[in-house]
Amino acid sequence: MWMREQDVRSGVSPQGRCTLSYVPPRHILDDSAGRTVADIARSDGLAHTRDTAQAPEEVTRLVRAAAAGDREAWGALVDRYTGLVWSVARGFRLTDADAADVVQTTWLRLVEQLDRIRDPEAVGAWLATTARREALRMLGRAGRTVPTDSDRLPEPRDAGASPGVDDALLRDERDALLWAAFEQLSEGCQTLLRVLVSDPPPSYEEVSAALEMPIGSIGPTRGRCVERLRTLMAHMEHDDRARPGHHDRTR
Amino acid sequence: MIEHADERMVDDLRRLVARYDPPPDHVRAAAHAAFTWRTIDEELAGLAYDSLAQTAAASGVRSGDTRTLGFENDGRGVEVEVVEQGDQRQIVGQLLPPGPGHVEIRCGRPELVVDVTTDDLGRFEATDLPSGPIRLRCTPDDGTAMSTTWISI
Repeated sequence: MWMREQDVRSGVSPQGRCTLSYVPPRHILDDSAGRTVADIARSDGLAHTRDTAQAPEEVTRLVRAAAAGDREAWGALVDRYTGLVWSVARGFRLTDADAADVVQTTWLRLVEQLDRIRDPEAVGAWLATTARREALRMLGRAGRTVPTDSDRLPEPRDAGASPGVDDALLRDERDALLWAAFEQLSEGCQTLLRVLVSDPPPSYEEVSAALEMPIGSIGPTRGRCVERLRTLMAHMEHDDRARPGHHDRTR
Repeated sequence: MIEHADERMVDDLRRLVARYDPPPDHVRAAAHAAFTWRTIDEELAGLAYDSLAQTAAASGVRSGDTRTLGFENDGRGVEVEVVEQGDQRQIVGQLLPPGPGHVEIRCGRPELVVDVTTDDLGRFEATDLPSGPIRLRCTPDDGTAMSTTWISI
């Protein structure tokens, strides 16, 4: 029943996906029809994470139902938490294949633990912790190296259906700069920011578990990481302008 | 003001990540499919030892090509050595306490089950396994089945 309510609230068809008690932000963020990022900003970020932690009874119910063999309940858990688990693996800069292994191992662990899990409402934090451990294990494995940029993240240059060509170009340049600066961040900052922006937004407890960081440190650390990101962007922009031919956008 | 700028930056990042690096469909599909591996009331042996964790913790030095894993529950268990050969894995193991039985090696990606019979001392081996998550379901000839936890090899 609650799923239907959410469908109405979010105004989109979930296309067979159960969305739990929360509105996935992606369809909002993909909105290129005029809503600004600032409009969305107020409803997202850390402040928003409180709202998403609102339905422990439902999460508990889903875990119990899945433990009893309910495939739909399992699907709802997967839809709710795959973004989080993926973000943990990617935050540690794992390649596609390694991140996929970490995510699958994490879910397989949950399958085997379903009827043993002590605190079902904290299943998100449990998944985040499990993914973190598996990611660290993966990093320690022989022959693993930090992937190169080309292994990791696609170039953000697809303008999509942006409102105007000039705006799109400006935004693309800024996006490219942001993306490049993000990759220069320390692993700790990358992991934190990746987890924070995972879709759907995680709860404090989930972020805390993913980072093995006290809840009270999340806000201040996030502030420092964003500040660092801003500094990196400023430096890179400066370097870029100092280089000849920086106007050539097709480089 | 500053906080607002922070929110904007984080939201830009959220938009970029959502567009360029969401969980791939095959990852979601595998997570949905993981449910088919559900087993009920089976004895579960947890990871008791991982040479990888030990080396990484001790020195930060990468381990060699061989990794030793130990799984245990209530006095029973299985010990496994994993050798990496590119994307393939070779495993050599032994049931504990030592004794004859058989082992189902379940691979998660791609889904695959390999059956092996142990020798009289519970030793077994398997080659050409895919990398990725695996679990072992061990059945001694004189006892009940026990599964290990999933682990990525």
